Amino acid sequence: MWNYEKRLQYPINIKTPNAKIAQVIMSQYGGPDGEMGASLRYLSQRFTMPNRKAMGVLNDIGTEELAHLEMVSTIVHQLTRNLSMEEIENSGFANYYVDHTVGIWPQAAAGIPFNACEFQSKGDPITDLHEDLAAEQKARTTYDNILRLVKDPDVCDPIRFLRAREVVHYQRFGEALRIVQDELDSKNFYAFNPSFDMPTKCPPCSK
Amino acid sequence: MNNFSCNNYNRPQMRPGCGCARPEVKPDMKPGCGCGRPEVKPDMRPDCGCGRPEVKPDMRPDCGCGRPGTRPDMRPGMQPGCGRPGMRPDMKPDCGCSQPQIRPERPCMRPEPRREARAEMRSGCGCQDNRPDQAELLNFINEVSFAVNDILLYLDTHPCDEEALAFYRENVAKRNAALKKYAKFFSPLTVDTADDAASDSWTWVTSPWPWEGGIF
Repeated sequence: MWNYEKRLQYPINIKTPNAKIAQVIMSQYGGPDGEMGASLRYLSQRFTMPNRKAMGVLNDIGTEELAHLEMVSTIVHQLTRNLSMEEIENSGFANYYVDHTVGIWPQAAAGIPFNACEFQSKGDPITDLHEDLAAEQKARTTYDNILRLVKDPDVCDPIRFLRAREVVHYQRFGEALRIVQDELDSKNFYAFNPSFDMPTKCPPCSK
Repeated sequence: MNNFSCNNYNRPQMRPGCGCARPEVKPDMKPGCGCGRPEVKPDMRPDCGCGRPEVKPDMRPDCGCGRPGTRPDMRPGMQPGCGRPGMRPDMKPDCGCSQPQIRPERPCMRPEPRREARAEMRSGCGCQDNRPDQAELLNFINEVSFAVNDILLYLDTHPCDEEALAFYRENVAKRNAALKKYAKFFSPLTVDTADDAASDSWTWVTSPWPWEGGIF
């Protein structure tokens, strides 16, 4: 289960509201490669991992993604909380505003609402871990794109932190994939699904 | 009534004399005058100050610490009961520090002071001597928590790595101490530290939330 800590993983203090970049950053909240998808993906996939190391990686990275979700929504909130109607109209934020005022709602920058089609939980650990590696790269690219569009240092600072974490998560998923592959009996990785066609193993620490 | 003089400890309605003389220290308060002075130790019990872990907050100050050697001024063979002047079994558990002969500079030996008291405290009574800088402490918590977070992910795939385990233990200890300290002086960051200051209100909800900005 989850506890909550009353702090952000990395500090966020945005002094200047900006509806235009808020819309862009929204994609990392509810977009196809955003933190909501990431956390739900990992927290859904953890159940069908064949060993505890992989379960742990998915559980703990999934949990960290929830903290990132909070950071992204905080950024969007601080960029939109004191907007004037003039700024809303001139920045192209009116379409979001009409349905949500300056509330926080998960959608992609282009407007597609968050949905489960934006992630997969295939139940096959080899497949799922490959998906996770790709997800981290997609998130990293999205942050790269955000950094090209945004110039406010108050915004760039936490975004850079989040981007760095995506790279670290990519490494961790790579480790998890290697561990799952090492524990297969056969070198023919695609012959079977180790979570479905073989009993789950929870090997002791020494392995 | 609104006398904040720290030397005024003689009024009967006042609480154990750390000398803070704060008007909001009420008779029904838990022991813990809230002065926050360094010698008021968090784990000490509100009674004679013997600090024994089994002495509970609602106990009368006849905790039986008349055990020989419990306190430097006690003598072997003393009756149960702290034996300090003015200590009576029927007293409320405030050990009687409000006795005039207990001076403000003597350790009050109470549990955690109340968190909300600090805004009204005057300088000079020594109540805020150890108060850390809030932004600095929060930054420290963020840093040490990040260290724990990152090593946790590494340990998930390398559960037997001794060096990583040592790094984890070192940082989690620092983190827990810092979280307790933050809760004591400012507000709780976790539900587990939410009553660390023995405050009268639910500061978990009344203190700022992280997305508000400012200190976070």
